[in-house]
Amino acid sequence: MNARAKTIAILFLLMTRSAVFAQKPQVQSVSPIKIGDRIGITCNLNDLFAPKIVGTIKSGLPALLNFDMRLHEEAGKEIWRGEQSWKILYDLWTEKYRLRTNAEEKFFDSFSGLEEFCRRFQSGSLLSQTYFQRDKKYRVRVQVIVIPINSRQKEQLRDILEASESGQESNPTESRRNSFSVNISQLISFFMSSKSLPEGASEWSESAAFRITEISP
Amino acid sequence: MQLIRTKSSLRKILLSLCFVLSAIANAQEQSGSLTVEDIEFIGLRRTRPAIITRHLTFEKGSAISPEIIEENYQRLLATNFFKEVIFSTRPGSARGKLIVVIEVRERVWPVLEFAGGFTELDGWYLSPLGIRAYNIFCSGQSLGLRMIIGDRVGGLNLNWHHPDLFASGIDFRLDIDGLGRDIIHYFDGREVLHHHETGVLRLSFSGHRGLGRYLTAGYSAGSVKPDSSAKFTANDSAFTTFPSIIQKDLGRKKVNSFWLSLQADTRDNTIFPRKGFWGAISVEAADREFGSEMQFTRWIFDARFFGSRNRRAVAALHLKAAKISDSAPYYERFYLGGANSLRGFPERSLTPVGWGTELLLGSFELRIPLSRRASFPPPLSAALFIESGAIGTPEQRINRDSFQYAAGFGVRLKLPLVGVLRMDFAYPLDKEDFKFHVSLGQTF
Repeated sequence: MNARAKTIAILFLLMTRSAVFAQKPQVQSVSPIKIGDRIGITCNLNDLFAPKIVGTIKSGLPALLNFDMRLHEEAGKEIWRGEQSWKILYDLWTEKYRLRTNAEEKFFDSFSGLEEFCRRFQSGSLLSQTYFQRDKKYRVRVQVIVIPINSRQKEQLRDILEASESGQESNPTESRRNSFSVNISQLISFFMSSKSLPEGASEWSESAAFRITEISP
Repeated sequence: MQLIRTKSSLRKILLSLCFVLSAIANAQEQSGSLTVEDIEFIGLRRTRPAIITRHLTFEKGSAISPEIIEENYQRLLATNFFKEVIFSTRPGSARGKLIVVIEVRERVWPVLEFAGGFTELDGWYLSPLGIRAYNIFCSGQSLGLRMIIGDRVGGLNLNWHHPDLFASGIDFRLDIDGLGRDIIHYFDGREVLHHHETGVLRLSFSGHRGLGRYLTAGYSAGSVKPDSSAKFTANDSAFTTFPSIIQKDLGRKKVNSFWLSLQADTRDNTIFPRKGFWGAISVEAADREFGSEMQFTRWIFDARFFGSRNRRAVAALHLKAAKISDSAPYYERFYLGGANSLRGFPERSLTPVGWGTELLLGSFELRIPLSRRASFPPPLSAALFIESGAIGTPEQRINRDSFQYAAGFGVRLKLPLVGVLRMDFAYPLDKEDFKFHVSLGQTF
């Protein structure tokens, strides 16, 4: 292999590596939908399952898909927010993938079938049309976070705040003490962090501005 | 006709069976159990894997579940060794076996800390600024320095913690305190603040494995210098004529002691225990042989029992008995009354002049979660309690008439940063009065 081919191979390997480790879910499109007399959100997703998530699911422990949804006036003011969580579990003994949403439970024979279903997220009916004024324009925003095993793993701030609660008994020879301790550096670095997104989170994605009268079923 | 009836019954049985099976399938995440085949680490540049595995509750071959992962995720974050921890898994060599992958981002620089708390002796205090280096020398050691400011206490604390001394499984702690503290006396029912300068070096050793887990041993070397004057809290007027039992202990004195404690902890949770037991029996001896100017032996027995029938309301019982030699200086003796002892009375108001050499205390609490949310520990809970205590001196030993009784109720609120905030309204049973206490954590 000559030097040029080696360079290309190394570059290719580096690109592949960064692609694998940097894989984050992507929200390709977001739009509102009319469900009866209520409004829901639908979106198309890509790269939902990083290798780490696939490994976790295939080993038999769950993965969670968290959908954070917001409704904004076109000017930017947020008027509603909601969250939905899907749980994915592979039963090693029945060899079935199970997807549990707020409303239902679905079973899939293959991972690709499950992945295909998850790519087209539909929130179900969320908002009454009374939220909307006919002449005003709105936007919906969605962020999806894929977490291995437990939702707690995306709640770093909560854990920093609650770290003080890990109580310990003092030795009985000492005066009884109840105390707390806060790691200020950790709090500061959490709020000042340049890392804008938590692990496994997509960028926020926004729909085009719409009027309530323009939403199709 | 009979056949149709039989078929219908059979269908009903089959439908019921399907329903039961589906309910079981819904209740269980997996049809079989999962076990850990191996544990892998990503991102360890300084820390040895053994330092992490010491904090984990599972090992190779253990059963594993999302709940166990969550508990261990929180345990690793609480070490403060890492800025970030992520658990994931991948399939192992056989069905039901998996490899746990722990990905961490190590902490390199020391951190600034803000702390506070409440102690029986010193009341409320704050440590507005402290600095602590975690995981120095990559073996889990930590070194911290903090300033302490309180209503009745102020000074500095330097501490060193080595969780595995010479890889022996022994947890070692060193504390050096330089504190000024105002101790409360009650003379003829009037509260007096008496300033003491204390400097103490404390070493403690406890085990991680085998029988060592139940043992803690320590050595303490220090000096105490009570002021020769005090002041009445009510009017700030000076007070110099101490009772002889206190007068004899004034002036700087060296107090060096060894202590040994045997303890067991089977509680299911340290913040809101629902079942289990925490108990300790300890003995401390100060003697001229150890370079001490004061001589005494102190015994303390402390036991707490927790039980719950429906996993909601928890019955908790606390029993404490303590005794110290009559020769002990007053500041090593016992006190009674206050937020952590007998709640119907002000802080240490039941303490006799020259403090007590015998102590008995018993509390019963019914703890009731008030929030409907499934989160645990409960964000809001109530407590009903009844308690009794007695304190004795060499002149007046504890007898049946020594006991004081109190009852009351309280609320506990789980707050971010500070943990559990406790508020108690307590009534002494033999007189019309009440006390309101605000403190941190459960009473016991």
